[in-house]
Amino acid sequence: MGELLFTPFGKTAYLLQIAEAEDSPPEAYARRVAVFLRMAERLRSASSIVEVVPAYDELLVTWTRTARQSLVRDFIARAYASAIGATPERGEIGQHHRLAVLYGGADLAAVAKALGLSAAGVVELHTSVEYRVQAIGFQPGFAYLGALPAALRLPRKSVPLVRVPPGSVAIAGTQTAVYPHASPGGWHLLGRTAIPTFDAFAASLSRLRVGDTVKFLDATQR
Amino acid sequence: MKVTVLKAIGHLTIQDRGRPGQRHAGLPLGGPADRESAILANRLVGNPDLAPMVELALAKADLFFDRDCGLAWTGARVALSVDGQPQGLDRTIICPASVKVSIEGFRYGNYGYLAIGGAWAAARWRGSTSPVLLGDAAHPASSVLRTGASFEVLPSETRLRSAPCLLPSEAETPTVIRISTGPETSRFEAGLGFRAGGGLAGTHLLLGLPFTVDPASDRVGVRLRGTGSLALRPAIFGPEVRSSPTLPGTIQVLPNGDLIVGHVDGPTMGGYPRIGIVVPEDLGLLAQARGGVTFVAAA
Repeated sequence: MGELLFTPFGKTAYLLQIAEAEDSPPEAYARRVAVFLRMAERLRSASSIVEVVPAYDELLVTWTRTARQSLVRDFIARAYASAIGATPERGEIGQHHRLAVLYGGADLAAVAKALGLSAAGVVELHTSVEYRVQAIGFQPGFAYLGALPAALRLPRKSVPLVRVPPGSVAIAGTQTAVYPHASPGGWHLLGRTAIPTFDAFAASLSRLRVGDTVKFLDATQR
Repeated sequence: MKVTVLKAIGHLTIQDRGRPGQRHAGLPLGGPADRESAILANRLVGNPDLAPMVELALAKADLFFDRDCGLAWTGARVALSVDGQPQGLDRTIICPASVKVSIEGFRYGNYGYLAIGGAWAAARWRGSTSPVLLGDAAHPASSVLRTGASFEVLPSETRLRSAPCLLPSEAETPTVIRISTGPETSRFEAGLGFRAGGGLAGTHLLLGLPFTVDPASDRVGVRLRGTGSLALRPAIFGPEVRSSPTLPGTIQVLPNGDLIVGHVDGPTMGGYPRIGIVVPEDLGLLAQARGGVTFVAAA
């Protein structure tokens, strides 16, 4: 593993990254995520650490105003060293989820037209790959999934929808996602899943966690 | 003691310390929009610093207390009255039982805090009374106070205290806010896009420039309009916008040169470059500002 890079984010936070060669293989990305997830567990046990947020192959760490920055930095460096030793070279990190989707969302036809595909072609491509949960946020439990097949990539809508229905499965840029709650949103809606990905009274809130994998299944009645 | 909301116009919520340590689940911090003023209100009535209190955001309210209790108001300058008698702000008020307490006329400042001395029986969700909107429902729902709502407080003995107001005077404009660097600060260096190095150079582009608070600002974010003279509009916005984690106070630059400063209820991820971050001690001050704002580098 490469050197751990500390980018300051205000006076009480670091954005952590692992230096890698430009041409490092996809497995190296998965291993960086695995190392950071292992590190996150350990960092959360320290009383002076407040937030530990994994996103992509980065880790955001914040600490209390009264903690000493040099000690926090040493603690993070030690947690990194021990996480490298404890993380296998290969192997799955996270759970696998299969989400049945009723395709036919409000934007399916427009997406197909914009991409020069049929609606069935869009569905086939969207269900063809296994996605990784890259980050959680925007709203509680919203999971950013990637990477979307190159043939499905579109910019976000120029005018966001005021109310996206809960359970909507959508795409934008290099990512796809399930909207856990009704909310405004600027992504293109392909369909809906009836499988709840969020439970307000479960300890983990979201069924999907960073590092998990997701496969969408076409449940549309034909 | 039962506290009844006889009338609520605008946004009234029960806030406390919020939910630190849950951003990885996408949960914002929550808590008072002006933390320092909220703590002061609780200290004036002898409560723990971030025990529950009522936050009013440019709102009007009439409240009714069925027992004697100690109250204090801090933050925005308003007209506060007890049984029709005008009351001082930033000081403990002994409120007799069964009279009406009225709050109206936000003169300046956007958020005010009503502390009630005693132990509150307020519902919590994931450790906090601060409401989070999930779809169409707030959690906990009882923390959003509407006309007719009520809640219970066990009043405690209150001793009289007073404090100076934490808001700058109305005449002091622009509001001066301290900032430090963010992850994309170096991208803005010299306004030329993705140049290496950076240090403070990127945030320095913001220093001293005039901004104006957009009235659409709220607990989600404070939107600041620039003058159009900013050298902040180079092609730093890549074709593939990827959202990244933010913190309360994170300053994101919009394509038109305006800024959005994430606030306590703001999304935990943002899709625009993070040029800097407001120091936590100044975030409440920014939330209270209505007119001009300018930035200085944090020590």
